[in-house]
Amino acid sequence: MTVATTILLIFASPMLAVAGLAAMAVPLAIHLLWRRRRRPFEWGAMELLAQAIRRRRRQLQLEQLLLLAVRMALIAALGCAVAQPFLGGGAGGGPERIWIVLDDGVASRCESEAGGASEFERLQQEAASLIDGMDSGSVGVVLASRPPRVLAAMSSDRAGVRGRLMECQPSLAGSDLAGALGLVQANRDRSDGAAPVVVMSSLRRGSLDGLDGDSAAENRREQPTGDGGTIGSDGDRESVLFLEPSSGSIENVRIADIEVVRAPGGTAEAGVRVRLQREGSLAASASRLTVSGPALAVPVERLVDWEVGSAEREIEVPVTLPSLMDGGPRNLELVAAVDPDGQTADDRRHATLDVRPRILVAVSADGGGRAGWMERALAPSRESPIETVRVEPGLLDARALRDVDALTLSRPDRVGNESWEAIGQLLDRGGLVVIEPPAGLESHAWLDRLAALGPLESNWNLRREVVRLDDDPERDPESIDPASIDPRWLPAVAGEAAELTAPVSILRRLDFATPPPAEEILLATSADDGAGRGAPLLVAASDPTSGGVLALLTTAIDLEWTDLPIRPLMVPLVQELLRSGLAQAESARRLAIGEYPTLRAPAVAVETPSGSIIESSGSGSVLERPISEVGAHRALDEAGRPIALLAANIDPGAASTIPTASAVAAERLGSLGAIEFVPRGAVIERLAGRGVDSDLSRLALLSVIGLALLELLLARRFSRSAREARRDSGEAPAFLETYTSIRMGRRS
Amino acid sequence: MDLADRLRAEQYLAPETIGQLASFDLRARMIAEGVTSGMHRSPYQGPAVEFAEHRGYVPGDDLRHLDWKVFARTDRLTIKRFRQETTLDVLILVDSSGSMSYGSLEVKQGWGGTTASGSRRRWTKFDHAVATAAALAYLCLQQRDRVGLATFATGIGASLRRSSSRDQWRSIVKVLAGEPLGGVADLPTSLEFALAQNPGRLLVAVVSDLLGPVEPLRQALAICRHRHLDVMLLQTLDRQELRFSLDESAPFVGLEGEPAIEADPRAIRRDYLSALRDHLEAVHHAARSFGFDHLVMDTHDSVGPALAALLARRNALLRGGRSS
Repeated sequence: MTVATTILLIFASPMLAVAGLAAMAVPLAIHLLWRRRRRPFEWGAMELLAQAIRRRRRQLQLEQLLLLAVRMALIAALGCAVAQPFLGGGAGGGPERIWIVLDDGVASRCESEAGGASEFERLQQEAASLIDGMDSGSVGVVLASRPPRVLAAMSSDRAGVRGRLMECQPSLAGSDLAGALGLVQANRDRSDGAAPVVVMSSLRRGSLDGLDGDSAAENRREQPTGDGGTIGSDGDRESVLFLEPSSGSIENVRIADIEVVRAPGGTAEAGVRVRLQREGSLAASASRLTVSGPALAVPVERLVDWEVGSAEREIEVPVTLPSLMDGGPRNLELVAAVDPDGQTADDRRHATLDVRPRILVAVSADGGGRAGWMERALAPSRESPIETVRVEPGLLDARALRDVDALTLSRPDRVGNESWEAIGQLLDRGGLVVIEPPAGLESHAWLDRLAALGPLESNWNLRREVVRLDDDPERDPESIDPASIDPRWLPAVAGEAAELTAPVSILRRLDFATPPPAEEILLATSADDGAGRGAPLLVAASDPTSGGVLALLTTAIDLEWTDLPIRPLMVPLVQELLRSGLAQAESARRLAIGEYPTLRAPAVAVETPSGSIIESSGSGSVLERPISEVGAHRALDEAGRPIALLAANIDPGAASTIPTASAVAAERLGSLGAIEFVPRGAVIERLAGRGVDSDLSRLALLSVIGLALLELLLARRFSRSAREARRDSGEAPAFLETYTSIRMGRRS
Repeated sequence: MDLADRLRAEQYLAPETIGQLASFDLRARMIAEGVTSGMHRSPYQGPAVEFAEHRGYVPGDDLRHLDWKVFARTDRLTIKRFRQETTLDVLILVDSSGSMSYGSLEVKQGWGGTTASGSRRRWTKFDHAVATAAALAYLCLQQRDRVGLATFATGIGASLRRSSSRDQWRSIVKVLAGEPLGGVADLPTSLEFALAQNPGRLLVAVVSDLLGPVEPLRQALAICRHRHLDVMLLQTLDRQELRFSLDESAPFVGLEGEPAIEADPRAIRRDYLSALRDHLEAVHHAARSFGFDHLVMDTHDSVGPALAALLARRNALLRGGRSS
């Protein structure tokens, strides 16, 4: 480390300093102009005036000069304070130690011009220039893509650090600027505690996306990145320098989501629903959407027209899936893509499709008609891909449920503790569980066991007693409110709601003591409570982690309770519930770049598209390394066999190229502490003032305050005689009485 | 004297001033050498009504002056002597230097009429001096004294011979009204000229702002003292000069050709008043050292009360001295 030998006064805003110094002439000019403009005053007693002036001339001149000097110094100090002066360490005397945070997040992959340098390359070059500008000292580099990591620890081998910096490639993960700054803080030692931190980021919306509390990044596993990026908040420390936000608009069309829409089981016809978003000028244009992948025999193309100002479209592309009965692949991959644009990272999106030759549903009932109703609804024909297997309620265990995708439980009252645990495990691995009340019970004590199904946050509070409408002659049987059907879960039923629900009567049902959340009610009776709400008939809740779904019918599939089993609604209701429930599990099989996903048993590792294996950590089922590749990942069991296909995609929000205004960026970054924007190419000059780490702004500001107080005091002090003169200016001096009264001379 | 002159003269001598001075007379403190019999003591003895002394007869004395009653009682020839009373000659010396053209009081309808007030629309020190001279002249003429006039600046300007004509005060006003102001006051030189033009014993009334150096004034007073003249120093100053209550800072330009002076009146008021006090004290001390009267007159005040007070105190002093 070298020691700076010369000290220079450097201004962050030299023009302001010049303006401040030039403004010193203002009081002088006012002083001179004021003197020149006064009208001469004719006076008789000039000799007396001259005598008075002679007595006070020196004092008055001194006072005037002193006041003038203080006022000029006040203005000069104000200009200096605004210009942010620093004591710099002479020529090339920049700081001895610098931390560089390089934003290699996916947002930095954008290109403002086709074929031109990407934002990342420009940031990389800016960082390299900063290192080149250091005559001496050390530098450290932290990469800001999720999870933030130290690329090069603080080192005096600047050439080595520069080399590693230039070899760096942008990540597909989103940016985590707060985490990166926290990592800098964690890696600082006592010797570089005051080392300035320079953040090289374009600060487009995607880079700032990670600062949102509700972003996808919230689910990421916390890594040891220090105390959370409030590096600039220390009052004694310098503010963090950020490059000024990029302002160029970039034309970008992104695939925000892709979802396969199909009937459960082996129907070959399906649809791929693609959600497109675009950024940039939002002019009228067209995009070519291609859906392809091993699941499709031939890629499907669609031309998407964009109207002026339109920023989002949802397109459903019909596709034909391969025959499921031919022993083809169970897990398939679908890829939706648009033509390359300014941000290529979000032009493709992957989805996986768990194509099963059959869906195995366990039907747990005590035999007889009730099991039959459910089995017929699940597999109405022999060609149905849904296969049912009957399991005695008392024999429900993990082994019995090992291969099933769903379970319908008609006698929860006969299920023991071990069975409830097995049901919970089925939910944990993304299965569907449908429970209906036993028909013959008067009091349903088994409802207490619902709380044992841990992953579900909903705590349904039902009364144990049955509501009997058939025993009350004054009450009619209840009907189903067609408007209560939730189209997200039961889209096919919602399409013909009125026709399907009209014939159904409800004679008995369970009642909720506390109404469940509205979003969990899939079906309800016609409103009769005066508040526009009916009694819930079907409620469902899903585990956000596993995708497992628990559904509860409040009426038994029994003709004493309802005629639903013999009505046309029965089959589509059960089929839709099964499809939506399993789709929830599919949606849970998505990975985001930069995350540490939690694997569901029996998976213990994933194989990336490039063939590398990421094992789960010893502490549980969390992966050792974050997901870093886009595409289909294979979930492997302990034997190394693939058991599921997981699609990994970038966080679409993290790739956003929308430029951010400086004020907005400052507000978003405000939580990181004191920040300061520096124009690109001016970082060296800005840091030159921090050579010996002496910000004189405060000193200059204190000088301004001191000089202002001094000016006030002096002006007050010097005007005291004037005040006295003004106070008694209307009165005759006392001594005049001596000469205006008559005093006769005496002859000597 | 035409009607305009008469009217202008009366603007300077208001009826209330005449009323205020009516009960006073201006008595000479020295021996007067008038040409006619009057109210002032004469250096000559002779047929008169006021007894002076007895002395022994010497051959050659006029036998008409023998006091026969004393001869009858004492058998000694004694001559009876009487003090002759005569008229007073008053010379009014009015300063017409440039500084006398200063005034801060705005003239009202019917005021003024001198060249100074006409151009400045202000009641100048010279206007006040004219009013003072008119009042003094009127008073003297009422006593059948003779009044003469001379204006002075660098030298003697206009002058009027002594006269006891009843219209003499109007002539004085007329002469003063047409007198141009300018130059620097040189009182000793001007006084010598004036005394040369007006020989004999005089009462000299100097109406001036007396803002010049005090030493020349002292010399002039010494001359008067040497010639047994009585002197009244009527120092006419503007109220603004006496109080210096100006607010705005400005370059001050002298009326007698002095260079401009930059000054903030509020800042130097105390020093100005101190200088004024010193100057007035010096003038006053000079006058008192020769036994002369000194009165500062404020141009914003009426002439009558100031002169009345002066005459009252002066007469009272004379009576006291005579009785003692």
